[in-house]
Amino acid sequence: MHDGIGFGTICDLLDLPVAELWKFKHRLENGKAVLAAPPASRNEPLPGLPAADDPLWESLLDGSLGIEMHALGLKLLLTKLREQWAVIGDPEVRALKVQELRRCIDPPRKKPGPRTGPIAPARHLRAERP
Amino acid sequence: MNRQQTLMPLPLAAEMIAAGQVLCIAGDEAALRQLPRGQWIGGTIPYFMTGDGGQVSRDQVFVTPVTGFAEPPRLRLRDRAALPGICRDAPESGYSIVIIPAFSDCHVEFAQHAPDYEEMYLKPLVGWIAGVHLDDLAQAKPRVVLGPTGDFADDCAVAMDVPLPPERFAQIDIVNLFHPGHGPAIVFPASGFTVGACSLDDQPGNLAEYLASAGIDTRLPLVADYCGALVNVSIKAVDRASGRVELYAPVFPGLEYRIAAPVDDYVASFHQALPGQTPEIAFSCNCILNYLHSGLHGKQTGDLVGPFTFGEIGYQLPNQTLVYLDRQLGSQQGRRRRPVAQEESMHLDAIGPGSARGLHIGRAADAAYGDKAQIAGADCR
Repeated sequence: MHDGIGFGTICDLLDLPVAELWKFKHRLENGKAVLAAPPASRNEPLPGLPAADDPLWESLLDGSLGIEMHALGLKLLLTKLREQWAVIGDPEVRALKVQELRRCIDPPRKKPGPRTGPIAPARHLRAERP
Repeated sequence: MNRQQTLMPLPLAAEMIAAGQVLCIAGDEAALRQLPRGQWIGGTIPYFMTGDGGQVSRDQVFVTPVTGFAEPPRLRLRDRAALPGICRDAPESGYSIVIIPAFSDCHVEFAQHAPDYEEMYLKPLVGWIAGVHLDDLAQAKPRVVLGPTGDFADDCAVAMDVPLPPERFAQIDIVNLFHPGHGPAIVFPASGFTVGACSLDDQPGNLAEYLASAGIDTRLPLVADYCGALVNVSIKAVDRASGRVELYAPVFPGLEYRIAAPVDDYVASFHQALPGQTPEIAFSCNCILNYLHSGLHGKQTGDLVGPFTFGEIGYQLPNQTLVYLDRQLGSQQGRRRRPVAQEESMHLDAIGPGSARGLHIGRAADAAYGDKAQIAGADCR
């Protein structure tokens, strides 16, 4: 999941029912379970994004850094991640949340497909810490 | 302008089905049962917002053609167990439409757990909750229809996955004329459709008691701020004696709700809240409570037409909200794989020094996003 692999793929690989993995993820996200060891790939750089251990991500997720967004999906997702962040104490599960946010901001481009082109010229705007 | 979606007589809808068009159809059950099999999904509801204003019709159906897809859309029923996979199985590029029968297990499941579904918020998901004529509430059941088989179901959702070509992307937005009022901040200890105990400005309280003692107009929903997206939860019934309040959607713990500020002129406010230029509306629906409380019968809602429903789906399940999906044109070069990235495409590309460093956020989006590309410095909660 750190690497953006879907539930279905993980379940196929490990011969697990999707429902069981979903329940486990739900427990992790509600602070009711912990992970034992960090995967080595957590800090794998995503092009153009700060590393996963950059404190910037924690600031976004704990709400100390705010941004104004217009995409409904991103607003709802960040709200959910912030709620989860507030109750998750396990550093490894928190790392999963960081990765989830990073994926949605700049999703992994490992899979072949028509949408894997380069990042277009971006508008550079500024969001400050409140 | 939206000229394709419209209320129409059954023979015309049947012609479109027979011609092989892919359609999403809303109508009274008796009307839907007269339609032939084909590439369509449907749900029961006889209330519609049309170009001529809000209408009730039992013998016409509201047809939303699904066009511009890259591959033929996939249509299927999903029972409660299969519902959590709805986003996971959706196309990487495209969108999904889902219709769920009101009061069904699927309705409860989706309302309570959709935010936790795998890939939720990463792939556009719109839809609505099927209902019935309010006169028939006691004897009729909301149902959905899978057109290819003609199956009607009151215990399954029906879904259509629509893959889009690389040069197009889908974007969901909502129109909500309610804003949080100046009353106390309300926080609930647990998720649920029925609530009682809560905190009111950090003091222990009971929502039913508060609503009754403060004389709150229960047509006003609870409103929560999701990082700038205002999401409503509508009040169904208040029982002061038992201290219970029934809701049309669940509240979630940890979120801060407030009763919405009163709206003086529903229709005028509604028109003010409508989006300006919406290039290509592929789907829209509105809440039956807006139809009832806003007096929208015979009143127009601009280009945003569709069924008035027992619940709207814009990723999750807001109440008293208009949901719409538009398809926009973007260059393939600038496109990403996932819709959130397509919608917002933030690219954190430069970090300034110091503890008060700025976060430069660039959008990996092209000019097609227009003024939606604005990202400013502000706290979102």
